[in-house]
Amino acid sequence: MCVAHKQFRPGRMLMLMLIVIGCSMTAEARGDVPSPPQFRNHVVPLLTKLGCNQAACHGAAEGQAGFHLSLFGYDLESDHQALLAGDPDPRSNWRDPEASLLLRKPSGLEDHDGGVLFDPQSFEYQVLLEWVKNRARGIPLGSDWLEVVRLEVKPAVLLARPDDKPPRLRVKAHWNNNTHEDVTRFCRFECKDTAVASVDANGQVTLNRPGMTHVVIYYDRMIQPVEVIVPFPETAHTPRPSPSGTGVVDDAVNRQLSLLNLQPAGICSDAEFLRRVSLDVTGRLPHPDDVIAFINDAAPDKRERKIDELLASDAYADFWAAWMCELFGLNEAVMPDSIFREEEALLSYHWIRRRIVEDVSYERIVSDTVRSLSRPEGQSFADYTKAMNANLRAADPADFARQEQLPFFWGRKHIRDASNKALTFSHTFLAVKLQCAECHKHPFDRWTKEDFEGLEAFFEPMKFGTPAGDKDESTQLRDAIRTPQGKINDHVIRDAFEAGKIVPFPEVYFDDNAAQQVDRLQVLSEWMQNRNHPYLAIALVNRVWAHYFGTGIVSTLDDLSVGHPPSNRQLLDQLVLGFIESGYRLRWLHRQIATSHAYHRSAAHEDAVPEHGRQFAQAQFRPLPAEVLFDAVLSATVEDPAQVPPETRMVGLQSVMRQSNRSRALMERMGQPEGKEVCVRARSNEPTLPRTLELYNGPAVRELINHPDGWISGLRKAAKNAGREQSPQSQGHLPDLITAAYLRTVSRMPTEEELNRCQSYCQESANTADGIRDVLWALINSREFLLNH
Amino acid sequence: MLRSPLNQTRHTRRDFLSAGTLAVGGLSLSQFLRADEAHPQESRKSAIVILLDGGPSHIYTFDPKPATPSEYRGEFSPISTALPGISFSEHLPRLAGAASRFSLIRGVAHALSDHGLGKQYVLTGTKPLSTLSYPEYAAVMNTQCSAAADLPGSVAIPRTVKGPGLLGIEHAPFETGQFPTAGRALNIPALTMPAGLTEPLLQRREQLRRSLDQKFEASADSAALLDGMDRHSQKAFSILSSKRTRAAFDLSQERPSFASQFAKDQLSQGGLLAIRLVEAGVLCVTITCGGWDTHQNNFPRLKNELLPKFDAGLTALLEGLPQRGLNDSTTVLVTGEFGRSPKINDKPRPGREHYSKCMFMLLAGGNIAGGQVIGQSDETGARPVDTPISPDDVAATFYQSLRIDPGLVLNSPDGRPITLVRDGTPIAGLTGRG
Repeated sequence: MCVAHKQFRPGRMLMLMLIVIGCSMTAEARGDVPSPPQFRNHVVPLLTKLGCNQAACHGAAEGQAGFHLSLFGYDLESDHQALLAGDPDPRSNWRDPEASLLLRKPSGLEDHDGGVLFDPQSFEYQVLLEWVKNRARGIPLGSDWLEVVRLEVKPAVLLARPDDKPPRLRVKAHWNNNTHEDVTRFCRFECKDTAVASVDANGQVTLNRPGMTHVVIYYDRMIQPVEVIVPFPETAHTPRPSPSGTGVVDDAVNRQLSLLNLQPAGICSDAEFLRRVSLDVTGRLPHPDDVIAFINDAAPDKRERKIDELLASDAYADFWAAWMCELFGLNEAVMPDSIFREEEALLSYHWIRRRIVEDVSYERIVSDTVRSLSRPEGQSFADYTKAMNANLRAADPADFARQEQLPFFWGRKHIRDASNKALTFSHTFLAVKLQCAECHKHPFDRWTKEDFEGLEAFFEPMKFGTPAGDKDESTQLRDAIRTPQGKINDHVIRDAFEAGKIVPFPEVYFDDNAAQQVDRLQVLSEWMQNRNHPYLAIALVNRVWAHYFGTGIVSTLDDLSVGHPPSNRQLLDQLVLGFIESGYRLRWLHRQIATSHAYHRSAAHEDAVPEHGRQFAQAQFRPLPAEVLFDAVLSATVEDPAQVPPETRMVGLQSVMRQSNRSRALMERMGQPEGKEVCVRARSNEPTLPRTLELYNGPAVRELINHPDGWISGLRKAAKNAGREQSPQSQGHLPDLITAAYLRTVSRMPTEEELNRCQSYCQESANTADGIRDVLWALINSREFLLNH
Repeated sequence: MLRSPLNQTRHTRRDFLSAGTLAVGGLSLSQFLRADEAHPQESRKSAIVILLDGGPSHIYTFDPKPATPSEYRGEFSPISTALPGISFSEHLPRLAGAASRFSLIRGVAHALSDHGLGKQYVLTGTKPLSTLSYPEYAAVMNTQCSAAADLPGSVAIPRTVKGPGLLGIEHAPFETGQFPTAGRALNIPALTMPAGLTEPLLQRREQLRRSLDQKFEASADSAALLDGMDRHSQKAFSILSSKRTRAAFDLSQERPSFASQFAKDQLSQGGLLAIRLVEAGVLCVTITCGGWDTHQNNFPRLKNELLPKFDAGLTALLEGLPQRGLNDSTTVLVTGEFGRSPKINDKPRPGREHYSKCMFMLLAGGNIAGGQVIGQSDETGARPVDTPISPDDVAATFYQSLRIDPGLVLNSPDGRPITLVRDGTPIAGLTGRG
């Protein structure tokens, strides 16, 4: 999420702020006004800094008061034209510079809806005045063009105590002609967390309270974050955290905790750990017997062994195959051929799952997905048709999963146009958000409209349907399966297929000559693997990390941009490097994370501050994803949690069936996305009201609790058979039943107090089964159950 | 987190609620009613949205073209209405008589003649985008206004068509799953007391739940999440335990004299339920009534079924609202996803095809000035005369009548500022009254 986006959007507030800032700056010398100021290097950055080209001001599509600037200054030429125009009074008037609207309006000499931004003595006024005096020149031609190649900021890191006054940030722009210039006055400064520190328009940072944040500096197309670290005060009774650890993760996390002097939470209990790691690695609650066994296991390496056991389980493969299908956008709702979407979704799931089981390199999975057209090179239409018919008919999807490539990615029906292909590609694999660049310069990153158009053009020749050369053959096939009345539609094709006839399939192909085809996707896949910009690995590592910690190392999981710096750069770098060196092995990554001390910390911490979550010094409460939550209720309510029929689970295959799954509507209310999203993270595990209503009194959950084959019904039957309902003896096993309800839901033993409370509730109930039913219901509706913690 | 600017009005209310409910044991209805007093009835704006699913013909309803050849005008004749110079189809006699109760917009046009896309468009007021899912009216109202504590903010009869889009499932309308039956309580499992539970037992069970749910002490960091979950559980309990809520969904509790004005079909009974829900404090009720996709068998279907039911159902709703004193606070929007082709097709049993370049929409109640006809179509009903009115303009008008600024800026899940109605301008003169 772009936190920053919100901060500089609402016009009024910002204008007010700018008035204050503007005034405070008037005292500054005007000595450093460049002579003459350049349009691109000084004027546009200044307008950006002042907020003139924001969406709420002149950057709005329709402009403001007849004056339109491109949003965040992406279109220099049209901005220059706009600054020269103005009728009857020109905005830039070099015959009478001080009469320019560009100066009169923002300095309050003429009415300006955007308020007074600076006064005639100010630096800003002088820069703009000098520019107008020098004939308001636009973009110079030829060699005069100066391009900024990098920003040099001093100091590069700010580490100071709250009562220190840190040095002012100075920004030097290095140009492409090997010269440089101090551009501090032309930079926009923004602090990510203003509770920790704030920054003024001159680059002066004020420290507010202990914590870590970044000042992000914007100038032209460059963005440069500067780390700000304000340590927590030393206290007599707590030693400074140790700066080292026993692995990639703890080394980096502990180093930063030590810098910040931030006390991490203690290690969580065994029961807590087992529940947490089971849910995170397999999407399932631990079996009640396993909880007891794990608690009683005295071996020092039991946590590590458990992690390895879980990573080797089928449940791991189900869970992470579904996870990757969701990341890649492979689900029934968008499969290429709507007649066969269920089969195609099933095959896609098994194709991915096999790779999860075999721990195939993530890079390889992506490249086999991205390089795939429907037909491998050289395959004829007839062979393609035959192969597709066979694939969709196969009794065992494992055969298909052995194929090298996955042919359904590019044909998905919501990404048929090139622009959506470009968006989904950058979103899925690179976590780069190009939506902004579709129309204007990305506000927090270097991506421009040209970058987007380049990627879009790349996909332009990719088509879906039947290539011109194969139309006849396809028509013949269609004619062969027409009904006696000559009808052909989706139903007719489906019926023919089910009757064992060969049916034609549309396909993804390139519209231009064949030589380019292979190159194109090869180029793309090679570009992604380039180690100089390992977006592929960063995006994945960050997303997997967020799965375990509730927060990414870069908090914006789908927007890896320079303007969103990581909360721990060493951690991200080391983990990404290690992941690449491991050969992009997911199990390596899971293991690194799950075995780290950071992951074993407790969620409880007396003096928790937001920094604990951000620095991974404490476990975070994380609401369960829809499918995991459903399965948890399922296993809590069935007779034997070890015997849950696989087809009733929502984690795994069912989660890609976003159309035919009978519980789809329920899943949607619990937060499962529709599956047709192009490039937005649609899944929200937020505990919403619709989700709460389902759990509280929804028919599905009620049915599970009262299911004739369920645990509660079993208790009723047992009581009936024994004929001892409400007899004094029945009280004897009540504590066991209550304990069982706890183990089934929150995966721990009840405390003495909880046991007593439940016991008296049950004793006051009509019968034991009713009492236990309500205890089970109450636990399912408790936060301890609904959250991973 | 994501939608902070939207939740502001709700926060105060929620805080109020939780403050009120921290008191002993259970949540009493009176506490919620007191919460309601913070938002007096007269300030509450509600909406009823009727989607004529499938796309009704404008020519066969509110925009007849008697002067055109028969393959255009079809079998039906026009009748005059309460408005001078304005005629409707002969099969809408009651609406013709009640024409002063609503405003008719004739020259609406857009470019999406696909059912799915068209519905998304008319239910949001913004052309569907592949990268961003706009919220339907009901979801927007959920975020902008406060519903009664023991009721869902908005209700969809029977199901929601568009959904909450970028506002998130939190703001999805509550689905009844079915149309109500005359004189019966609607059987909605989520609102029905579980077998064997009575109100005291429900209270007792809720107390057990709360007493067991004590494990987590909220720190400053997690308070929003944990407290939010708590509030949702409280709302779930209050919805389930509220007699008022059950009564609102129970048509058998309606006064026979009032209920008798409503026919027995889906639209009429849906309308009656909508009135009861709005009266109880639901913000937006969406009724989706199908059957309008008349590619063939046009005449009998419209004449015998669709038009009479629509005529009776909508008239009863528009007449029922003022009888309950709800007319000024409730805006009614009636729309299909598009109109139908001006020319009748040549199928054996003829019909009309999808047609989005000319259609009608209808607004009533709230501060909508009734008895107006806005816009005009050409002689065959193929194109609007003058500037077409867009679904965006109607949406802007609709929101304005609900005192929601059409220029309101929402935040998308990825933090982009999104204007509620991007391209629409409220239609001049429509929202004058009140």
